[in-house]
Amino acid sequence: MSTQDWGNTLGNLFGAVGQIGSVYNALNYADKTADLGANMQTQLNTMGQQAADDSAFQGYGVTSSLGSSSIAPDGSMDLGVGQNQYHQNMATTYGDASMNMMGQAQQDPYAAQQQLYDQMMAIQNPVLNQQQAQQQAREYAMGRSGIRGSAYGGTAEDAAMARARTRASNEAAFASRQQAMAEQMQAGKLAQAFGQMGLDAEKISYLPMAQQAALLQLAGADADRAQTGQLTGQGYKTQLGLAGAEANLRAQNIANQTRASLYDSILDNMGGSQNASGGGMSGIMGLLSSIVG
Amino acid sequence: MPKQLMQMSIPAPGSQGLNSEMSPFNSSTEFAIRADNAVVDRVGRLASREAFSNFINNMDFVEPSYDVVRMCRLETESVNRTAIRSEWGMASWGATEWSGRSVDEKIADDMTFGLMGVGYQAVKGRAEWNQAEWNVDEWNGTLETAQRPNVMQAPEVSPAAVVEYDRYIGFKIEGNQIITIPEISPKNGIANAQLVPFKDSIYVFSKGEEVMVYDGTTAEPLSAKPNYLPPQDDNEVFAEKIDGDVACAAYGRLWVSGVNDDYQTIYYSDLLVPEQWYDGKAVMTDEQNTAGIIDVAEYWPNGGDKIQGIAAHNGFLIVFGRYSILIYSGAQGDPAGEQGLKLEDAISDVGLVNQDAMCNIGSDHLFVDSLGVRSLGRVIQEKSTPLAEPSMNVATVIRELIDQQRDSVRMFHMPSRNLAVCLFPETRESYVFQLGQPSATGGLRATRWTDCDFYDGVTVRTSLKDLSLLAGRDNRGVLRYHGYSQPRPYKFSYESSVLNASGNLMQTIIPKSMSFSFLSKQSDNITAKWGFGSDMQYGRNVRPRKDTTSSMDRFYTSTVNLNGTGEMLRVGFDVDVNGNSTSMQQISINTMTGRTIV
Repeated sequence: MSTQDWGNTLGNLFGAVGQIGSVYNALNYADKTADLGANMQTQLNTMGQQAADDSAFQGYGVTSSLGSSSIAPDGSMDLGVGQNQYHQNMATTYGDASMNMMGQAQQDPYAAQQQLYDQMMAIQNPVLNQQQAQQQAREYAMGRSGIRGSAYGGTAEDAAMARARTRASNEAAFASRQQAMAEQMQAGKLAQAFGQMGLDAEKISYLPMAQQAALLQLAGADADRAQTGQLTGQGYKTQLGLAGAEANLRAQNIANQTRASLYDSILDNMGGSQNASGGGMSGIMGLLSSIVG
Repeated sequence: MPKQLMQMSIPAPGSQGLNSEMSPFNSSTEFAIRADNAVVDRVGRLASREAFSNFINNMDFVEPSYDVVRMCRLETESVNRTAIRSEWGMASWGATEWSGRSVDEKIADDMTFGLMGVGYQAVKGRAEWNQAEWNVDEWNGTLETAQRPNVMQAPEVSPAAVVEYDRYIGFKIEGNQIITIPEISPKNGIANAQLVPFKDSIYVFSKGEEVMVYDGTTAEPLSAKPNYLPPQDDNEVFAEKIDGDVACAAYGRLWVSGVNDDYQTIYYSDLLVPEQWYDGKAVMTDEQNTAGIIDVAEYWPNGGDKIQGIAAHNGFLIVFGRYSILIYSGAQGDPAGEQGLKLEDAISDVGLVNQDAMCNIGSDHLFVDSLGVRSLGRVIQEKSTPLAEPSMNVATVIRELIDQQRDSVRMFHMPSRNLAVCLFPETRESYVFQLGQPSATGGLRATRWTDCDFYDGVTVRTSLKDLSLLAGRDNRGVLRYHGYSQPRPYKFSYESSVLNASGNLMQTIIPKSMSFSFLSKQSDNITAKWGFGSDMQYGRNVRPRKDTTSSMDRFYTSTVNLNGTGEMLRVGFDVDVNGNSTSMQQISINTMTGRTIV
């Protein structure tokens, strides 16, 4: 073998070793880039999670002299204040009164009438009984107590007394009917009034809650603004993180390409290049081939 | 030396009627100890009563024995009847004498209705007649037959026969005949029954039986009337039938007690509608019904009593009890109305012995109490128990009779004679009260009638005159108080009280003669009687006129010689009345005074 052969051989050897070293580095750098990409994905996931976490609804609350209200991150709301107890009690009282009055208003009119009638007759009966006793005494004194006429059932005086009693009874019945109706109507009105008052009290009892809700609603705008700021910050943060990651990726990629190019150049320089006819080599190998040669 | 003859006169002897209550030694000669079958005539003389003459006994059927026990009249319906001549007051008369009426012309009568008791005369043994031994003369000529040695039967006991009724039958007089009404056959008649004329009908009440109504042609129960309404209310019918026996028609209504045997209650009918009674229903059958019920139980002044009779007088409704009387005013309108019945008075210890023992005399209402005949007018006026009484002149004797016959004593009025008759049917005697001017004592002038063969009396108006009819006994039918002829002659008797000629009772009197001045057609039927004390043991016929009888009443004075001597001279006479009346004008006695009793 000739030096030239040797030289060619060495040059080829070196060229092959150089090529092997370059491939090795290229693979190494590719792995590093892949690792970088995976690492970036992980970091970006982490950043996304961070952003998601940071941009999540944190809930909010408001505190007033009525109480403290809050909306939990899960959306549940704690108003922190209930119905006004006083007015609720009022409402209950009015409600009871209304029901009571309504009960009276719904009472059987004949029963109410009978009650009133009995009361009226209880007032009138002693007088009527007295008058009847006097009439019967007069009748007896006149010798007429044993007389019964067809037209009267007894005497005319008996009939007159019976008429008086009937009239009193009728008047009592009529008055009791009127009174019962009036009382029922009055009870109905009272029931309505009490009911309305109860309703009003009930409404009023909810006023603290409404006011607190209103405050909460007002606080919601502030929360929205805070949320917006938070979301904006998160946007910036993620955008910057993403830009950083991209810049890093590009830098790594450039570095890797630079290294790869460098290695490629070095390797080209050590092993020369073989022409297409397989002749001459350049570089170290060419040098060495030229020395040995 | 003979004493001077003294003459005593008794003008109008007995003109004041009987008096059993005065002292026989200090009495007026105008009062009589006996005045049998007498009346006080129109000029105040004691005169013979009229006869209980036969009138109508022609019946439409034959009954073994009957008594007419009740009679009444219905004025609204007249019937024609042929008047017999004697009814016209003449035995013989021409057609022109009676305002053109012909002999056969008929007269119009009110309808006369009655009840007769029909049966058989009692067959009684001697002991029952209180005659262990009796003879023919004692029984008015009848004979004890061999077939009935110990038994008196109908023909034999005529003067005191008693018919035991097996039924009662209604009847009416039509023409000259008694027409029976078999549909009316109550269980009661002699007592516990009443005939009440009302509106156009007769209502026959009998205890425990429904009232029957007879309108002149038809007899039917009241409940058969189409508009009959029993007393009722919504709870009950008080009485399906009106079956009381104490009744009265007054003030346009029927008033009845004894319904359901309740004598504390009076049911009164609707005004002029006797078929309708108390309607206490809430919805009345007739809204104009004003009938009703009166319970008097609370008003008896003695605490309790029983309704014996109901009467109307002077605008009052009188409710008689046995021991008390309730007087109601205001019965004229609606009794239950405000101006209706009012108890004006409740009188105690005066009552009514039975429902037939009263009569209204127009100006007064007389009734029989256990103490005698009472006057309601006086009671009302004095508003208290009457102190005076119409029968006060005969109180002692009449009380005894009332006590013996309190369930059967009756009273009726003879308006055409102005008499009130208190009849004692069991002894067939009456005390007769002359209405009008009372006697000097204040009591009504009273006489006594015997042989009273009747149970009842009613005055019937005819186109000629009033007829005083009597409910005859012993198959005599309807009698008439008229004339002076009876089947059996009767005695007009008078006895004076003690005549005290000298003014000294303890001195004997020697009657010498007695003259009678009397008015009669007849003069041979007078027997002078005299005696001393209670025993009128002397009697002698008065010498008649030569013309024993005349065609018209004439005054005549006849003298009879007397004998005997004694204290407490009393005089009298008997007149056998057998067709002519006798009025005693005056009795004069010639006496001499005898020794003074020491």
